[in-house]
Amino acid sequence: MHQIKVKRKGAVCTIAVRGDMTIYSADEMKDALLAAADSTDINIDLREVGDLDTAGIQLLLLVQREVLARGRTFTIGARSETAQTVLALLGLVETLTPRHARPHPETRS
Amino acid sequence: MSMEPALQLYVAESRELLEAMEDGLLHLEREPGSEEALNAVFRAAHTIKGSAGLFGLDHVESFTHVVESVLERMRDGTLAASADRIAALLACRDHTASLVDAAAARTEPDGETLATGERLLNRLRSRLGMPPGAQAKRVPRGGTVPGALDSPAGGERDAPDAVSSEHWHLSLRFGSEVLRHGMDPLSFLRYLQTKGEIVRVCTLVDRIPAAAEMDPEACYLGYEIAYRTAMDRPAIESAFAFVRDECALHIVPPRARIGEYLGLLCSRNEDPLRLGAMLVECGSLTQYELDQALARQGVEGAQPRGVSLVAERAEPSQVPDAALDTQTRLHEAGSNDSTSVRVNAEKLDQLIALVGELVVAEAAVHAAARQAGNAAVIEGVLATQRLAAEVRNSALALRMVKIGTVFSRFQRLVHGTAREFGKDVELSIRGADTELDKSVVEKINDPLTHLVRNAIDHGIEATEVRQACGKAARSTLRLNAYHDSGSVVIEVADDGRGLDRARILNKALDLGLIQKGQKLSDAEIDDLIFAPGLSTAEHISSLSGRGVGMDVVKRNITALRGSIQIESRKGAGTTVSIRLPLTLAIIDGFQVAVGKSSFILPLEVVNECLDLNTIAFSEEHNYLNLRGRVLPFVRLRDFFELQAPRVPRESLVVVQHAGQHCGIVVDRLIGEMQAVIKPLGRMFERVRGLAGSTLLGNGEVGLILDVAKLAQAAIAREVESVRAHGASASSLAGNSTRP
Repeated sequence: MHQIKVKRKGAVCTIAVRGDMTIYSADEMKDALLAAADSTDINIDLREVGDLDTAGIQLLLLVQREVLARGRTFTIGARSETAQTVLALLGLVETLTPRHARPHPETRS
Repeated sequence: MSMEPALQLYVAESRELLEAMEDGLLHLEREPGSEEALNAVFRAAHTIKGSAGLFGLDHVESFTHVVESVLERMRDGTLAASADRIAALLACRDHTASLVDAAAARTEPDGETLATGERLLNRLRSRLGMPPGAQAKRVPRGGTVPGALDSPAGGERDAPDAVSSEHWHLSLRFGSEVLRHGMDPLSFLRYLQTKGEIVRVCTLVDRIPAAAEMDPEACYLGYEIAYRTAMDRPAIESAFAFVRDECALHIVPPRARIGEYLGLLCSRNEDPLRLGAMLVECGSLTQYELDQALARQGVEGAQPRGVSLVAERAEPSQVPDAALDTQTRLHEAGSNDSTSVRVNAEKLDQLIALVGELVVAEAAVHAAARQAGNAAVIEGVLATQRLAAEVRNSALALRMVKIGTVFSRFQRLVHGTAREFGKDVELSIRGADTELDKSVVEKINDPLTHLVRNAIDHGIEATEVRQACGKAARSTLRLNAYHDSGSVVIEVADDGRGLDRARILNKALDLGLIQKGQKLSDAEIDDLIFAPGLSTAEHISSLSGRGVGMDVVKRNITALRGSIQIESRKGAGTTVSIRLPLTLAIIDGFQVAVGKSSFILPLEVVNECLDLNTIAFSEEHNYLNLRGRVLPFVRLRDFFELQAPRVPRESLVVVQHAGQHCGIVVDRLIGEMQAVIKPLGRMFERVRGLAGSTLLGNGEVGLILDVAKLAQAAIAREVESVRAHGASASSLAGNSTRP
């Protein structure tokens, strides 16, 4: 079971994922995440993520790329221990959660 | 593409780097804390190693690799720069030099050399000692990663072009269906974690397609993993048994050959630069090794322009930085020499020969112009002559090399020789900026080496002896060079025990060089040291003591148109002075004539010219009274036995050599001129008093006088006649002070 909750605060949209982020829900998550990631700065909240597998990671990478391509910022804020462990295991901590996230040099409108 | 010119360049640069290494090591010995010196040594070794790889010079590369590791440890403070270690490193530097020489000669080093190398490496390795439990905290820049786990049982030994990393490298590309089939790469990684240590993972995300096409249940990720384990290759492979069909697995063992990484780079259908950058980030390859692999592949190492592993990111990733960093360092190292140019010596000689001919041609034009009497032409000719002279000076200056380059090599020699003979010697150098012709510099090395060894072996006493005499325990060996009236003087001076004249006399008597009861001045006794076979050494060491040294030194110096003198004070020390001509190529000359023959004197030695009739001289006693000074002299016509008819008014040229004046009597004075010195040719080499020949403006041959010989002859004659006319010598006594 999973849940995606989208909360807008000012210019930033926080997408909180609750539950497992795995292949089983990957299909639905993809659409939801992409829809929510439209035209704002995105912050992903993984505090309540249970299981995170390769499919889930791929989604995160996809969303990041899309958001950055639109000239917005992408951050992953809070994460559950599982999520952090997986990110670390794959060496993606710096990639997905860079310490100094800056807006993409191409403009923001 | 021919590697030949590149290889030559490599050899030349490596030799320079080896010199830098030596200087650095010696500096480090004097100042063990000097970071600058240690860094310089490390950089030199590192560059030699890296470039050796490019040329496939396996021996050089693998040897310097170990040396580099030791230096790396010294840099991070794990090993100290002890005198013993530095001596070992100096030995390694020498070995590297012989390996480079072998490479230059396009031969393989012989068995003995290789054995020496092994011995040296074992000496180094036994000192490497791994700190317990050390781990790489960051991406290793180069050199070995100290590992708690040793090389695997895969049977891989240290191949010559082995990479430095001591961990396995796994490259995984999973098929797109692997997730759907119920397997997750993550579980394999977790499994690996239980069987070893995952040092670093680089996840490749390039294959994730555009959002619209992306299938969330497909697998697009690839992994480059740096992994430490005790498992062997079959065991690692078995971990992936379940995905064999769906995973392109590429395993590279620790210390694998560069070629294996190259294989990895090529087998993937991916940008080798990107992939290579990831390998560097994993720590499986150093940037250098990557460059080598790419070079072999023929890939241009383009500067990564911050293209990230994830589709465009705002911040520069670490990986391009690593590549840029090294490139900048390389660039900086190269640009140190951007103010000098490497020139082929032959080209330089050609240039000088041409300039010489230009000078001669100019002289001819000048003569013709004077004859024609056309003022405008003469003025023009004077201008071009002046320019030609400047070109000549510049060309000659190109050949001038600072003697400092020779002197500095002696630091090492003194260091080693002092150690060898157990003496405490400090080398002091003065006049390193003194310039001489490069051909002279090359030939002066052997004689100087012999003199230095002699000084340390025989001249300088052992520390206890010195202290017993009240001398400082540390002795000083001085190398001094300076210009003096057209010559270069090089002195080798020590503050040792001085020559033992009694011993020399005895030895000379034994050899029959002198008769019993013969009276010799101190200087003459000292001079005997140059006689062949004479050696008063108590013991025979490797080079000195066999009596074949000093006479050879003298011969070498004479062959360079130089002279050598020795001065010694018992208990205080010995000084050997070598005098050499500044250049062997062109001289500024003063032309004189006797009869139909033209002679040239070096302009620098000419003091003044006079009409002989204005001077009082004594034909009987063979001396001239020049303004109250006695001037020994020689008549060229007598010296060379020329038959030309005598002239009523002869001229006198006063010359000086080695601080002494003498006169040369000639028929006519012609004037200043420049001459390209041509050697005399074998038939006339032995003619006393001639140093060379030249082509005059009118096409005739001019003979260049050997002033040293003439001066000797003049003085000898004077001494002789003073002796012979003992009674009347007293009337000269008041005038016998030398000018």
